[in-house]
Amino acid sequence: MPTDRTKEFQATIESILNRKNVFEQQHLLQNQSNSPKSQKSEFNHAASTIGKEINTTVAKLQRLTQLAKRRTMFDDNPTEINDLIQVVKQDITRINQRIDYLQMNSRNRNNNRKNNEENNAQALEHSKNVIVSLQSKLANTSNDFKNVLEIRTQNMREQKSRRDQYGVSNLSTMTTPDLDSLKNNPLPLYQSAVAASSSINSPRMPNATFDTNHGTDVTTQSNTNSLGLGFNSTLNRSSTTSNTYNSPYDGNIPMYQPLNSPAQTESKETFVSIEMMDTTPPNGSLGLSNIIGGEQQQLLANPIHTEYLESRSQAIDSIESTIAELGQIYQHFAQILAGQRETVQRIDDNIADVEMNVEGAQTQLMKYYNNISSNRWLLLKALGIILIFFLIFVMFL
Amino acid sequence: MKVFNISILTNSSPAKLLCSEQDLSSFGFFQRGSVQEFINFFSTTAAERTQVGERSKIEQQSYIGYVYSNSNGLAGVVVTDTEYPSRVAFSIINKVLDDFTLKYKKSDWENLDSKNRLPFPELKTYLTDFQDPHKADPFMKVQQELDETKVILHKTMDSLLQRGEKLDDLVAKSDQLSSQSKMFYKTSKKTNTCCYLMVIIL
Repeated sequence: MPTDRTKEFQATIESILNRKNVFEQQHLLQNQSNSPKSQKSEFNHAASTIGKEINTTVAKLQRLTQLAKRRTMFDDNPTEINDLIQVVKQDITRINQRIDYLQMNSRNRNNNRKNNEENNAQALEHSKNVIVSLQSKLANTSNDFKNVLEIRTQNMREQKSRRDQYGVSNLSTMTTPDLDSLKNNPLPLYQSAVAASSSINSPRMPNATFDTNHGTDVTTQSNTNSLGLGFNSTLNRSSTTSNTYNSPYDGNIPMYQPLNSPAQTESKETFVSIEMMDTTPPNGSLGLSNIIGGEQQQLLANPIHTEYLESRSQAIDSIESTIAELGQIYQHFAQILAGQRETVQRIDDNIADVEMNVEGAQTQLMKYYNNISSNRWLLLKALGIILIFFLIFVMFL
Repeated sequence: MKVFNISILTNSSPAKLLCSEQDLSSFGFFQRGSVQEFINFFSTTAAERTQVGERSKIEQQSYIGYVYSNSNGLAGVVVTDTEYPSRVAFSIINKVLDDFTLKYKKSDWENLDSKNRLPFPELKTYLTDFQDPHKADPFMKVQQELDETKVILHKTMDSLLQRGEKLDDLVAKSDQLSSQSKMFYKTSKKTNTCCYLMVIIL
């Protein structure tokens, strides 16, 4: 029966890559001079190594997609998939760091050499283009990686439901309540996480660490301000813990009060069944972590682990509620502001009226003033006529 | 809330100490040696006995040790005092192990001699930074920022409501102004009529 030697194969690949990189680094060290030509070739060397690494990562990712797409229930080996996921993740982060380093290097170099060369502009542009193309390749790879993880989660979910239909073991049937809650509440945080992460995936790929070990989300170390909730690749429990779960602490060390030793004394199945009921977390993304196969549920039997996961889910819940509150406050804000806009318009109208009135009044007063100043002769004439009438009356009396 | 020690070991038996940083400034000078030995012993024992992907928390009189082992065969140990929140300690371990894995490949530390240590200067900066759990845990950082934002928003809401009141005041005053100016206009219009002129003459 053929043995599974993929791990050996991958280890040899890694060691060959390491050897190659070391060799090229030594080569670069020997050529360390300040002449622009050797520096340019150094840049090219580094860029070519990065390109080769990207290619190997793409190859690994393809193998991963192949594995993840398989839909048989019992044949897939989660360990290999999880190992591959780990390796690809590390490769992506390492390549990203190298690209950043290269970019910084080329910038420093060109700043130092500005006064020397006339054809520096073209070299600068060339190096910029190379870096941009490397970054875009890396962004594509990470996009594909993300898609593969999505496919994998979906497959795991389907597998779990199918497994439950056949009622394979006690442990797996115990997790059906989680599945219902999952179907009704399909990972809201995960969907928002996908949306957030797609906004992060610009060619300037920040240092996102996809923490895939714990089944919940994790923030990135990126420059962006988004929360950057990580991916829901909880399936990356690469623990191949055996089915027997030995107590790590015997009585030899009386100093410690280990919190997981009492777990071992009870019978596994009943304990696990109780645990599974207790650890149905409200957060949908954690529910996915309970879908994993039987032996990995032993991990959740570890109370510290569950406590840790629960505290994480609590923290995320509180963050989510705070954000919702903030959203409400902003909406309230906008409402009040709209109302105030109307008030301001009324004020504006009133003031316009005032201006009109005052102007009209001013014209009237000007007219009056003019009348007054020009009416004197009329007044005198009127007074004269009255005086004449008065005299006539006095004459007749 | 203090972090006394962060160390990275191999998850094998016997466990090899790959690198560690300690901050024992809160202990008296003569205690430090014994505390350091205790921490080293504890780290190696815990790393040997932890299975892959397992977390544990071990309490002693006034210290708590957190252990977590990676799938790569690394184990991280963090020793803190009793107040430090456990989730933050585990996230420290995660972060440190991830960075370490990025920096050194498995072949670098697999066959290392037990006396050698791998240089990892970021560990020291991490130790000094993570004395404040708010810096270590991304959740707490985000929560803190959100709370600050909420406070600022509340203040802004208050000032907005004040603005509303002032605007209402302004509306009333401008209403008054407009009616008074209207009266002014009418009066001045009346002044311009003939009968008033007659009254003046008389």
